[in-house]
Amino acid sequence: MTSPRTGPGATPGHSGKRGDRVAVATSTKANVQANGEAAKAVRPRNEKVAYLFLSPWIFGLVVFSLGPILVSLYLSFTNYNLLQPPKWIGLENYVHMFTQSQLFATSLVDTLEYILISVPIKMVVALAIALLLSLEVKGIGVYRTVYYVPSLIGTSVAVAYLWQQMFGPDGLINKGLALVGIHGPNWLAEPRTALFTLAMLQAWQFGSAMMIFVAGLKQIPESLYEAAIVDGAGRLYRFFRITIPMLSPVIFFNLIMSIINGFTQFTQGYIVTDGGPLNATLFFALYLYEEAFNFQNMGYASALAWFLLVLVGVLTFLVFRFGSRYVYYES
Amino acid sequence: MRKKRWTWTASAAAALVLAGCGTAAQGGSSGSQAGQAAGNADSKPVVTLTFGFWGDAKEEAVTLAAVKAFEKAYPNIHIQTEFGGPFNQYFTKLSTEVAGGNAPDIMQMDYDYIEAYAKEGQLLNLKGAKGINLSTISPSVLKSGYIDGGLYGIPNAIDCYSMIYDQNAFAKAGYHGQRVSWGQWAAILEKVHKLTGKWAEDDDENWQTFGYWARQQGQHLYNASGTKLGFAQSTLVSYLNYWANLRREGAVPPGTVTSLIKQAADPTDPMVPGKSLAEMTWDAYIVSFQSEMTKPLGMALPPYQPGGPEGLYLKPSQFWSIYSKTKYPQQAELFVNFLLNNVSAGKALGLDRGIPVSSTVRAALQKAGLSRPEQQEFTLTDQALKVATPIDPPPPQPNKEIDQDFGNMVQAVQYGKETAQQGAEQFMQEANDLLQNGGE
Repeated sequence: MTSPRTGPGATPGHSGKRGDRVAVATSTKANVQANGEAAKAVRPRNEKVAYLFLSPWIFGLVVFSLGPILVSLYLSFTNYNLLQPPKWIGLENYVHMFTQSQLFATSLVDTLEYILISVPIKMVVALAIALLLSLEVKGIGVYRTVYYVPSLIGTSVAVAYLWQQMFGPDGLINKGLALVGIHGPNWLAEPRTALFTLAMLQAWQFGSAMMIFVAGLKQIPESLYEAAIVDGAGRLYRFFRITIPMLSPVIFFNLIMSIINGFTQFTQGYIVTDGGPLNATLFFALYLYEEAFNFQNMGYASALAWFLLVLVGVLTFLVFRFGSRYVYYES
Repeated sequence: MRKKRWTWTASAAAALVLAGCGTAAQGGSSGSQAGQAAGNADSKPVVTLTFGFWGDAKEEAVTLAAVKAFEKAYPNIHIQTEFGGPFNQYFTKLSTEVAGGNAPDIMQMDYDYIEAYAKEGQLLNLKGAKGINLSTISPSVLKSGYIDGGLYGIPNAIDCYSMIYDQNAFAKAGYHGQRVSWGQWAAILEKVHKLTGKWAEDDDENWQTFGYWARQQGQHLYNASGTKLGFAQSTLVSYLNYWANLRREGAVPPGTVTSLIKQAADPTDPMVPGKSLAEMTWDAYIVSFQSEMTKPLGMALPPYQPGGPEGLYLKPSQFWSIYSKTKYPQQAELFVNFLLNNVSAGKALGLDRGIPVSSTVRAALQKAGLSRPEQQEFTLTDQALKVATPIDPPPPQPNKEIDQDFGNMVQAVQYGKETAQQGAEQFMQEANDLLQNGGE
């Protein structure tokens, strides 16, 4: 996760850099020899050096990301089982996806349900804890680290196993509930609760969203609150009229990242429930994985991947289109 | 305003890229498990062979011990092991490696896959291989490694279906390991359940045990050419109803318990903590079960169908195959021969994969003394050999997908979402569609 500055709030930084590059380009030739003079003089060489330093990354992007992405576009129009060379079948994979496959719809519904449950919970928890952690208390750094830890380990296989144990029929959660006289459900074996359990695991990883909120909260000028207090505004009023609007670009950014993250969810469904019971936790990425690697339908799986890419793109666009009217940009 | 729009587009683009990376990264996430056997590195090996295999923790340990024995006997050959974890993960990795042209020199193969791999030219034809002594292996066992006249894998062990059960609990119900009919077995299970209050057996419904059921009706999972399912709908319905009745009686666990089982003899298997008392599975599992459990286990041939043909068959547990693109076929043959025929390798491997195919190794193991579950496995295989009928040909390519569809259907019936009739009808239609469209 990058710093909050890469969010929509970072506009000034971007345009500034662009301006610099124009200046650099026009002054390139004149300043080649001028070594120790002004800072301006060193820049053109730096630009080449910058590309030099960037080259491993650019190489990696082209070879390991862009290349495979384009190959998968090609494969999505083929029948490819890894053993035989791919065979061109046109749009057949896409036709199958939309008209014949039941699991396609199931996995899509599961994923959307999962996002609808986990994202709001995660956002609220992240913001609430961020508010607490933006208080000036001794040892606040320690608290922030502690609350960030789930985000670091949350996607790991070990935590998925731990989750499975905790929510097992005789797991920690049901033992705890039994203490207060509640007979807990068989969390991972009931279609309803299984998805909810995984959504909780996702919501539990609120750390990075929380850190971004903390940074966002720091950016809100203290003077606004002071003025509001002078005017007699209460805590709630200040929260909804100052904090939320001023924080809206950051909320927006977190929302989009959480949605994208939700769509690419894989490990939890794979390890904790293996898509079950009754395919209730068959996430889209898990369905894609099974088609690709269990059933060796690489062509069809590539088509699924491209569908996901387009779907996430469209959803992100819609969120921008309709969400942004609620976002307040200072500039 | 313009500035704002620019930011939108930039962020949207970033979002797209992120989403793309997320998906693209899924495939590569299984890290490579390299060099467990690097202990020999200082002896300056002349040749390094890679060796891929799957299994549980016990199988991993015994295989590594056999590899060590080989390296001791042939100090100029170093074996780089690639333990692939459980079956599915192993084949996930192997199919990717094969597509990339860098599969291991020696690989463990399975009956369901060997045909596809051999036909695509990925496996070395071992017919007439000088380095491998085949005279110790019975021709009827070896037969399963032949595809279109070439020998593409040597079976490493044989396995058959068995009923593994808690000896004391079943003795109370008057059962002592004799072979009974399905009807008698259901009565025994209900009796055991009433006496103990526990589940008498796991709900062992799956595609392979159904295959056994179908064979007892003179039918098969697939027709001879592998283009259609080979059984009647009524056969499947009777199978589903048999288990539904046992569930209703409480003799086998409900779907909510069965759906959480990851693998036989795994801690998620209710048999291991003693919540259920029997399981129908491959006989080699008794070694794993007994190493996890203290209660003495018994073993019997699985139930028969009165008046029906014999459904029991012996299956090659796995094969040792050699990659067709290996640089060192001679050394690879040497290693395969060692795993099959060498007594110290045989002792290291034990019976974890089933009864070894080599008569030399079998004799040596029996002479050296067997543990109780190993002895049981031997005895059961002897019994099975007397009655077993030939195995079905390797399944057609969409088998894996059909297998999973079957599991989904069974689960829906277990959860009461579908009746046996509905489930069977829908499943058979989907499976036949898959078979006709060649796996897509």
